[in-house]
Amino acid sequence: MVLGTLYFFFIFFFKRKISLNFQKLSVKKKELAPIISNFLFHDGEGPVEEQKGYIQLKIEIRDALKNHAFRKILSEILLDLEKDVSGETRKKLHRLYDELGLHLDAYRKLKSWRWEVVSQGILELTQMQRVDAYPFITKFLNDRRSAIRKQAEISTVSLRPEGISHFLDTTRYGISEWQQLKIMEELRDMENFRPPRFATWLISRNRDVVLFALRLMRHYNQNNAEKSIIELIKHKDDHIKSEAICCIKEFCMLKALKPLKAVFRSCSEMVKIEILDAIATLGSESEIEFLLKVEKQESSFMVRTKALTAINDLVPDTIIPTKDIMSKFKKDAKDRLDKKLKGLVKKAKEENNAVEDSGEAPIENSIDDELLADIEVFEIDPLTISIEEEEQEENDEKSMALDHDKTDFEIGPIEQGLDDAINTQLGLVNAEVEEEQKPQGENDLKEEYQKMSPPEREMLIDTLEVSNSDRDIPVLEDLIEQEESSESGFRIFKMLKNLKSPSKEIPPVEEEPFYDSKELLVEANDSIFFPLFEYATDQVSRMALLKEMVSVGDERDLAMLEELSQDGDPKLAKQAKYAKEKLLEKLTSEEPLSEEDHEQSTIRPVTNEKEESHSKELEDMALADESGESEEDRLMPMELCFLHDEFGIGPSRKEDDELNFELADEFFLHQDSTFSEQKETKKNG
Amino acid sequence: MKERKILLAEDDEMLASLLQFWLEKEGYEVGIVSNGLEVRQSLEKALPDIIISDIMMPYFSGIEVVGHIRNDLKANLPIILISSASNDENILNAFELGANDFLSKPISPSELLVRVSRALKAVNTS
Repeated sequence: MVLGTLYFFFIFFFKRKISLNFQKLSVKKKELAPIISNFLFHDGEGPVEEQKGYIQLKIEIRDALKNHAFRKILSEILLDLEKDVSGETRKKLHRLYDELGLHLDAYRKLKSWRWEVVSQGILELTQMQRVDAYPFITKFLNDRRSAIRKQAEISTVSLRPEGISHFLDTTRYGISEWQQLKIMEELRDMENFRPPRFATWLISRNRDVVLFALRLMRHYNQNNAEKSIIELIKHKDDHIKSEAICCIKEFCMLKALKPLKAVFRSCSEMVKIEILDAIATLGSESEIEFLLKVEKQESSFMVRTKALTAINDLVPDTIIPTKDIMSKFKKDAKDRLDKKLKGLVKKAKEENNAVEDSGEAPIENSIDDELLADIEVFEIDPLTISIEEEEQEENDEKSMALDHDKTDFEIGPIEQGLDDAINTQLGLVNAEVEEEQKPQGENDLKEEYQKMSPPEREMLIDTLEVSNSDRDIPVLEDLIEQEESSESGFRIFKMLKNLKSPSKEIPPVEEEPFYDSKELLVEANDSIFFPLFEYATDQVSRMALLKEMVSVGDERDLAMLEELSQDGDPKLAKQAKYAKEKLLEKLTSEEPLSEEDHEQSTIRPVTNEKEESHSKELEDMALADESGESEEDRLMPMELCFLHDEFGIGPSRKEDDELNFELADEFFLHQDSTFSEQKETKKNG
Repeated sequence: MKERKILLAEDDEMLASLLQFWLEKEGYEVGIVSNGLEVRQSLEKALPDIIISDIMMPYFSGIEVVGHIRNDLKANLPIILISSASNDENILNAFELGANDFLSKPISPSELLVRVSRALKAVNTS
């Protein structure tokens, strides 16, 4: 009870005291306001009475200044007023402060042991622009009391233009973000401030000074320290790295692209995103290869997303939405994207090759060297760095491996397929991953087959027999290795033999069919030439294939020829149309042949001279189109050599005498005579 | 020449006193009020030739004072606003309501004088 009463009494007492002081101050201010106004706006040109009044006021105030409390109140009033007025009035206020000798009180405050008094003294001297206080204030720059230190920093910077240089030179403590902003604001408000060359402090041992110097460089557009800034992206501090990257972006330092890519792996997620952003800003199409690699290998979702965004920033619409796209449109999207990416990456590779040819070290090789580079001023131990980096790399690899196992988001089949396609085509996937993945798929099949029961194996073999497709050959080869049963093994062996043997590919014509191209029941991909056509990318090879289709083709090739006759390439379409007509003619006119005869007819390359001349003509046209081709290029591609091996079909060009796989001329003469006899017999009979 | 009457609405006594001194020295008759309520009461008694008002004031802000003069009193007298916080939205709002001019703190008394005389001239011309 007593304690409670005492507590409330003290509260009431102190509240009353504060209130009275406030009222007293208010009254004093009202009294002093006209005096101060008079001092401030006295011009010495008024009437004599006014001059007399002014002198009287001066005498009164000099007497009043002997009172410490009065001086304190006067200081407060002047400091308050200083914030509200500008221009000439402010300068007059500063002069008045000096004339009244109030600055001496502020100097005395600097000697106080209380931090708030010292800080107040520094603030007063700074606010009243006492430049002579500069050397006294700079002594507090490395004061252990942060309130004093921070006030001294701002005062040093604002009192003299060279203050910022002195501050950056001498400060040993950290500079908070807020403090950096306040100092920058002070610099901005300074009249006639000429910023020094802030690159000087990029070698400072104080981390915050380096960071602040980078920010100031960016603020004042000082792009005269390219090498230093690029070197700082290898700094161990993420904030400095980030700020350096911001500078690189701001000053468009294209030379930094290579180092940025080199340090990418060793950076944190935040810095990686900034690096990708910088690449997106500064880079060209040649960076797409790197970005695709990042997208493929990076474990962080944000980094991967940023990589994709960067690709689209460099070349808009390169990456198009694939997620949740309706399946019937997927193929189109995939093809389009695949084509575009192929082109871009091919270009990028060419550019990179050009760089390599010009003598510059390739990026990958330079990574380790550049990472091991030391920045002497930061006392980075190369050994530590290399160990840290190795650990980082190991962690990265581990996290990536883990990420493959437990991905947080779904990867659609098209994306996966696309990734695989791109990486297979471009060799972007590293060898280790590829080696790991490939045997895995094969092993899965083998393991599954081993786990199967005999009836299940029989069913699988039955299915393969029904499908009877070339694409099953690798599967069959795997299965035959695994199969222990002699019966099943024999069946697989028989299938393999049939699929591999040339006679299988060209089934005998059983009866004379009637073909209408519009009513074809077979599809283009039923033709045995379909995969070959897909494989042959150049026009010459395709023309050669069309030519061979006339001689060895059957009814299954008609659909494909029909489709090709509507191809965008007019020469190809023309040749396909011609081949289709000839094939139809051949199929409709021919008598059912015996198996032996058919075999003989299939290996005949050209049916008559007219066809040969026409084919030759078309081929020459195609060859003429491909300008700048050497004689070597004109030869049949290696990919088609299996035609010679498996079908015994050789090129019809006469100049290839050395590579003549054709049958002897006598044989053709004999065959020609046989065919002509047969035709005559048919016509007559 | 008849003295022009200025109503100065400013809650900072020292600044109000300083500006009063300066304006009176230039020949204006200055009345000081320290909040929005006093502005309203003063306007009910008599309309000045020009109003110089701080935006941040107790009871009614400078913007509310502008609204009251233009919408309720339908008076066309020039109004100059003073504020330490140069809040763009506030300033635009004040101009939309009908303020004639704006000055941000710290203010230069000389500049204020020029603006006052210009605003009064504009009213005379119109």
